[in-house]
Amino acid sequence: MHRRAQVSPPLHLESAVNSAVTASVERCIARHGRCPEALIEILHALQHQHGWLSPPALAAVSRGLALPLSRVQGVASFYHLFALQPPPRHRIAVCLGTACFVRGASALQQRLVQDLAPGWQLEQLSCVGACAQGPVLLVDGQIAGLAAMELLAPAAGVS
Amino acid sequence: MAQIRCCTASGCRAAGGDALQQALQQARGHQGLSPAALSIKAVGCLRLCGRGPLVALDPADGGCQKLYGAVPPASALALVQLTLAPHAPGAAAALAAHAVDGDHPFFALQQPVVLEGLGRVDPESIDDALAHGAYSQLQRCRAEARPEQVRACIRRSGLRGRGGAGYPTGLKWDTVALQPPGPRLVVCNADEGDPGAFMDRAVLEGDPHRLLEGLAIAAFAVGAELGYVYLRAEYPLAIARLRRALRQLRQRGLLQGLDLQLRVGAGAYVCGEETALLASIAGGRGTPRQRPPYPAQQGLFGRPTLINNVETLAAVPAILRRGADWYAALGTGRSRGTKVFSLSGALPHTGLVEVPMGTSLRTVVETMGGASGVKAVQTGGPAGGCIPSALLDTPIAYETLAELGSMLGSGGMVVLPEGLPMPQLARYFMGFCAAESCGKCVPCRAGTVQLAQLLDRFCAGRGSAGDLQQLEQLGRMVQATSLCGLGQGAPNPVFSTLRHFRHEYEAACGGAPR
Repeated sequence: MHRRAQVSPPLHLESAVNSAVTASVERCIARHGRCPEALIEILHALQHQHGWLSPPALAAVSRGLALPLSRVQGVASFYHLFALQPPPRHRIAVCLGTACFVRGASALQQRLVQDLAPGWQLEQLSCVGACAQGPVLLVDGQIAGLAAMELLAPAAGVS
Repeated sequence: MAQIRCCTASGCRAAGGDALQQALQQARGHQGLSPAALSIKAVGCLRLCGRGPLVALDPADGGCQKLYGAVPPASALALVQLTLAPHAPGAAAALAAHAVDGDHPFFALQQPVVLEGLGRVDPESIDDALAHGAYSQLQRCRAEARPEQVRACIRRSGLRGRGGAGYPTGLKWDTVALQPPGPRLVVCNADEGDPGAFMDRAVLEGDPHRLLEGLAIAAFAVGAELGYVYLRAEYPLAIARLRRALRQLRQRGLLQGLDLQLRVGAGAYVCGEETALLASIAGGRGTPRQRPPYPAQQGLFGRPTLINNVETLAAVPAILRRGADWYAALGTGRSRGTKVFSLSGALPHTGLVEVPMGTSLRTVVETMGGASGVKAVQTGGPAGGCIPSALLDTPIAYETLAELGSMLGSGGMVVLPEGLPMPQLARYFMGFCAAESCGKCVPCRAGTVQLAQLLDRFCAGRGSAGDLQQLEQLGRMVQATSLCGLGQGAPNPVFSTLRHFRHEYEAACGGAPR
């Protein structure tokens, strides 16, 4: 996967940004418990707030839980749903579960690759469990079956 | 009382269920009716997910329920009129195209045990769940039974693990309960990740209190005071409903000293494997470890830990209520009771079915599902296999499906159409396993990638006899030497398609030389 170049804030702002991140991390730790078992819950809460897990946030979690940064980074990078890069404006995910696959999800995916509008990121999922509606798309987190897809199509640039 | 039950599970939501429910409420208002005169009730899965959004009408005259599917919001008024006046001719005609035949085998052959509350209970209301009998068995256990009596009942019922492995549930409960004195834990595995499986999601979304009752009974039976539900993050509605149900349960004081916690996964299929799941609950990378020691002996935080799947636990209250002998009378051979399947793929009636063990695959797929021109049925997810149409008369049981080179698995059942090339399906599953391999052991991490590359040649029609030999050799090696079920099961789709559709692989050989 290509890592997007990260834009650093100007030097005089960096410490302010970092202390804001640290404060937010501390609030999450206070809510979920200052123990290693709470690590995944804390990462979920941080990602929910900020949209992704930035390097300063992971470093602050490591300090707050007194865990090696390697452990925090290792857990964050293990799970598919933790984002280590800033999120795109919109995301559209194709479900590639067996039922969706049998009903032509790969063809749908290929069409989306060609027709994707700017600002949209195409992702894939293994199964969202809406197998009876397949092929299914997840448009900004909302499940869309074939019927709803027609409404959403113009937004995502699907023709 | 007249009532309209709206399915609010994920499937019907994806098909526009929310808009329909709003339109129904508006239509009720237009008719000048109060919620007391016509109740519009949000319920769990009404089974025929492919025709969503589904609504069930319970008419004012107490007649039998009517089911409607794929209903647009514009038909809301007709639905309201028909519920109030079951013989309103205009409304019945307007809805004729959306009527679903409730006597069709898809419904008639079902035997709801795990799913008995789905479509009836409001999943967001503990009062409604209590009115339907939730927690009555838990309270009966606490008041009248000793833990060993509860365990004996489950043992006698013949219930086996519904997550796929089929380990006898009563035996597992005994093993945990009989460990040396000290704290024990219970864990519900709700990390339903097999593509094509949505049984557990339906229970979590449609009747969460039944699952929590089963988990609390299990905790009572093994002497645990702490329990976890590990739920995958891909099921946001199930998470919200379970969270709400847990909150209601605590507020009512029904837990009595038992602490139940929800843990949400973060997108790792391997966490469905029990030791990986425990590592993830403990806040680590979800990688499996060598067994023994089994979690029943040494599990979460080193304590004896009972791990059961959603469907297994959700069957427990019904078994206690109706008796072990009643449950054991259902089913066949060493597979007792009922099994829930999620039916999807190339067939007209897709959705959830619950049938007694021993029902034939043909009954489920063709009679209930209405499939025709079936090439094969895929069961057991990425560790399962394909059963060709000629063998569809096989009765469904743990042993029979394993003998055919597939497995019962967690309950995903995908019908494959005539035109689907089998090497392509095997390649699809191998790609899935390669992407989901946790990377801890080499056979799985590297073997699945190599197998996928070999399968690519067959998909492109340029395999060779040597490739075929290598596919089988490498598959056997990955199966024999991988650390956990993910790697051990990964070659199964290849083996099962080779066993029943070898000619398709051979036809893909002898093309351009390598």
